[in-house]
Amino acid sequence: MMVARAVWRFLVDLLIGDDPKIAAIVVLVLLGGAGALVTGIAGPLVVLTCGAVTLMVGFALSLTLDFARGR
Amino acid sequence: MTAADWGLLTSTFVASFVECVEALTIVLALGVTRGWRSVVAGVFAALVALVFFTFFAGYALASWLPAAALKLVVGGLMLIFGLQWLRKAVLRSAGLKAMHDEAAAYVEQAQTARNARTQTIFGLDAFGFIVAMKAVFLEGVEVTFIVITFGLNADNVSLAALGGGSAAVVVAGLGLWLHRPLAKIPENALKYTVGLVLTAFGTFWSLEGLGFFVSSRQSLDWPADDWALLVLLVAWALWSWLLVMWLSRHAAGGPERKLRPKELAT
Repeated sequence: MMVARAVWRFLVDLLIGDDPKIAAIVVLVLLGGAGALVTGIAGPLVVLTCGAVTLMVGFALSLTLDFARGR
Repeated sequence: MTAADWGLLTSTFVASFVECVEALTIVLALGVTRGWRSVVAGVFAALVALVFFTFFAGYALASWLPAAALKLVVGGLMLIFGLQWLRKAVLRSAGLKAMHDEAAAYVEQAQTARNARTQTIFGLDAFGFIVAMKAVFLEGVEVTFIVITFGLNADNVSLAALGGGSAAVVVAGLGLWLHRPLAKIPENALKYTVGLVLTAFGTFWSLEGLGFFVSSRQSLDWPADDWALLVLLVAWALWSWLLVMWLSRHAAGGPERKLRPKELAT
């Protein structure tokens, strides 16, 4: 049990790091892109372009949130 | 070698170099305070574990995932890694987070090691062995991840491994020669650069890998193909620079708007 907990903590630390918002942004953007492609709402070019822009906006929002909260 | 090969070699070398410098600081502090025998044994154990980890992680990723899914998974992970690095770099450049200082980290690690109690297992100092093994393994996993992801996506794992391995050898050599942490390396600037490179590659590959969800299961094609990578790199560099400017200006507005000391120290 202790080993499993240690491995879990190691993986969380490795993959999520000290700001879970970053991982959440990446997962949400990729899920959104996949959803848009599967449902046919958007084509590949729109998904690629909007995906990159959304990542940049999400990153800025994450930093702004950190700053505003005075973490 | 082509320009892309040089890019792969340089990227993996620089990214691995930064990780190895951090591991060296901990190993040196432990070796000086706890004795080299246990620390060297810990480093050796970590290297053996890393060889197995690299083999199985590389084999699993290359064998079990289709090309588009591979780009999606490793690109997504690389993007998370890169954005974490970039976040810290932006906060440091804006003066909202303390610059990473290897000399200070060395002093702190050495003090902790001196204060730790001594417990001997199989003739080795348990603290020195475990902490050295953990440090080298953790930093090594990040190096391994960078080498595998860059190598698999560029279809040249051996060249990526050469970049990562060379960095480890150079850092170890400098550590043996100087016997002190590599505090004069412009680590913060290197981390900013590596964060940008990882983020640009991660954006490129993860979004490309979304092609796994279309009927053909083929990767999506960026406009202008690989040139899009350069555009993404420049775009992320400009965007992060704008964020640094914006945060710096607002941080100067009043101490109550700055990050808490806990955040500053990490």
